Amino acid sequence: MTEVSSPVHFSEQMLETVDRLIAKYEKPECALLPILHLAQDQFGHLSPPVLNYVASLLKMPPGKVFDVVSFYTMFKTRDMGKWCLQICHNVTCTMMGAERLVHAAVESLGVGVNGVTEDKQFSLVTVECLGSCDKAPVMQVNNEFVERALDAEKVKNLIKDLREKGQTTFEEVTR
Amino acid sequence: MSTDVAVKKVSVTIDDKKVEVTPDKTVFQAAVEAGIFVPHYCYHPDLSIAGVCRMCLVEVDNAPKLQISCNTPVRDGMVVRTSSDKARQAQKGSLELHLINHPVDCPICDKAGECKLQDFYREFGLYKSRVELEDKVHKPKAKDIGTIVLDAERCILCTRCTRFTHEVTHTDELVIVNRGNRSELKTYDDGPLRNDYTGNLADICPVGALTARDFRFQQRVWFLEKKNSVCTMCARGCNTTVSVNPKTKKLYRVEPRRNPEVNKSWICDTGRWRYHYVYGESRLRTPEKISDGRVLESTWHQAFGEMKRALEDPSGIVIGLSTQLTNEEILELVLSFKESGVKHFVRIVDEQVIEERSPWDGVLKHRDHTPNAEGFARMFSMMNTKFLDCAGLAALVGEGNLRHAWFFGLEGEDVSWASRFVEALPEGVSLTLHATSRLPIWERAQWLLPAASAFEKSGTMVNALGRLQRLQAAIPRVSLARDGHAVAFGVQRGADRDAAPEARHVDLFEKLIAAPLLGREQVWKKLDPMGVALKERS
Amino acid sequence: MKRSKYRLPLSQRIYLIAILKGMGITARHFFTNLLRPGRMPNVGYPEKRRNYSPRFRGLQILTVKPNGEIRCTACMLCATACPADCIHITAAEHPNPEVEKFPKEFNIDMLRCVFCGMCEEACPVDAIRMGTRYELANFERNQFIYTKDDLMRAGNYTQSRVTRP
Repeated sequence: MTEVSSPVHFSEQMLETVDRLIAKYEKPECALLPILHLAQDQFGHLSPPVLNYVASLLKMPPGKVFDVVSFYTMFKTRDMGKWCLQICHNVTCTMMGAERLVHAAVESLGVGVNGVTEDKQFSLVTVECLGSCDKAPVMQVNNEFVERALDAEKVKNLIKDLREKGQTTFEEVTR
Repeated sequence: MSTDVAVKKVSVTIDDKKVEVTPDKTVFQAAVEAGIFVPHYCYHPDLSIAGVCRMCLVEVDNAPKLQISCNTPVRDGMVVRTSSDKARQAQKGSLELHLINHPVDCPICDKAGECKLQDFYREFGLYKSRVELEDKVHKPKAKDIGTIVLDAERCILCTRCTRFTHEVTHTDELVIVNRGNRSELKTYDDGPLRNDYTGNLADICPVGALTARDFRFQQRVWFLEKKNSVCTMCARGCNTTVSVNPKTKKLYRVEPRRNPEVNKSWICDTGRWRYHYVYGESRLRTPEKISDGRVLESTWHQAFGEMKRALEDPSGIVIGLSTQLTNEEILELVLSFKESGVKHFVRIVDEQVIEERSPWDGVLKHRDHTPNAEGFARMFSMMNTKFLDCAGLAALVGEGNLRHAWFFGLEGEDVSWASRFVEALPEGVSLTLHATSRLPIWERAQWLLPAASAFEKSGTMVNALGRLQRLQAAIPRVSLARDGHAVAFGVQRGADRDAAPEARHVDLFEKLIAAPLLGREQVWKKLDPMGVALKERS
Repeated sequence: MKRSKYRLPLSQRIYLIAILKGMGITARHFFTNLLRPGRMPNVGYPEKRRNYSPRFRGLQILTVKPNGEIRCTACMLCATACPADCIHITAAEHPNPEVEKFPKEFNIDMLRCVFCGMCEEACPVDAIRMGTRYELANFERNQFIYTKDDLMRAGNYTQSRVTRP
């Protein structure tokens, strides 16, 4: 285990939160997941220097941190722009036509899956099950769900709204 | 010494074979003791249990489903079936799932011939594939990660390598990222491996995902024959098997041999890949005489002739013996030269290291790069000779009567620790070196005699843990190289007779072993391939 | 031992009829070949050559991929299968990572080859085939080692490569 030096640093307040989290568990490395969420909120995405920093905080080998981060699709390892569109590609959603949503998004955005637009506004990924299978197909925009009777048209409109108005009321779409 | 409480053994019946084991064992280990082979990928005797491959599924009576034998503890009266129809069907199914996305790489994969997927398919599989070639998931192919080539597509995710980098070397470079059928093995930062034991990864990988770059494309394994030997790059003396092509008689690779007492299943990269000096550019192939700065190829006949003549006045000669020689060679050289009247002997050893308190690196390596310092020490009283150290040599030089220095057994290219002995000799003393390689530190020598490397000689050595282990010659001597026995023989006769000394090490071995110092009656042919632990040095 | 009392009759003892029968066979062949030369079993080599079937096993051919590169991946199965131990291959890393392995050297010693075709059967990628060339006589022993280039071009031969001393 080597300590990798990095210019990344948590603020005082965050370090306090980290200590509180570590105190809850038997070993420091058990607090990894909440701390990764903290880091992602703070830094936008989990780049290698951030992960090395988290590893050194928790006295874990950096490899283990990378291992965990790559497993969860909620943890972003690249800058995913302002709006990250995450479309579920697991069983139920695929059966209910998630591929059509993906095609629509790709068309509207002009980037492929895992791509980020030039202006760093949008990115598109396919993710694992979002836990809302009764309302399949499901899409998650940053941390909000868009679901129920979602189809290609609505996805295109959503992207248009976000582009022009910078916001959209998700309730409208789900109705 | 803790008191040995008699642990009550439990009785397990595997495939109608009854076996008694301690209750801390698993069904897999019980099967191993019963001599029954259960197919497996992720189990390794020297790593923690993972239970991820699902190949070792066996039928256990009274259990509703098949159990993985590697992680099922034994219970008294358990009845297990490893090759019933149900178990075989499950093993076949697990194998099929492993092979779904496996690339059809056998013609170009180095592991062919020793690949567990191939072996198990032949034994338990032989089904027709149900996956279309176009549907296979693709992953990065041959990626160079230092000394190993990583092919993520061939990986079956057994996690042996990740457990190795975590538990054995504590460097955690290899991780499995993503999940599902997109799981991929890689180094966490895509960089090279950073430890001294990377070669073991190629051994433990059951498939061709991790292969050694040194051996890449050199030979097909079915052309090679394995011979047991011992590594001589440090005082640990890891047990090895040496793979030689019997047609060309060339050595192609060195692999570790499992010995729980010495090296478990591991060997360091130095021991594994430093053998190239045997065939390298710097290897001495004929005796060389250096006069007036010119190197002249000479013959053993001439060398031995000169040495025999010099022995007419033995008081001006000092003999240096390296701790890289086998016990038998040391004994023969000492006794032979003593008979000729030589009085001064020097022990050439890495003096800085041998007295160190903690010379181990935490995994395997010992800081002493010579294999037989301990054997040398144990034979002191047998040889009844005073051995000088470097300071003693300098004092001898100071007396002014020294004319010849003959140093024997200097092996390999990493011999910087011997330089102080060479430097202690002034201009007027003629130096004859019996070494395997021509190196800058031997510049000052007047005679360079080619020595047989550790792969070309047989004998015994005692490692730093006090274990007597046997070396066996795997390849014929390269060009005109001669071992210590041939040199002693030749000096006595004044001419090179390589035919005679072949089995001299056996006679000397018997002499060594019968002596009270080494403590046991042994026969060379029957010497335990795992070595013999000698009692503590008093 | 009792000697047989049987003696051949005179007509057989003078062997005249047997002689005439033998001469008759010779004469029959003579006249058949004279009057109907097309019926002769000889082949007038080298002006005429025998037509062999397409399965005839002659000199090996190393096949190439559509882009001109050798198809062989140096898996060494042919060298392993060869009963005469006449194939010697040295593998090397191919610059194209999709190909990965290819033979740097591929030598067949035709003095050892018995033309059994085991190499063709063993090859998993159809890289080696038994071609139709059989005129391999030569004056120099070293001319019998066919290298990779020779074998790749073995499909297009016009004449044997005899070198007179």
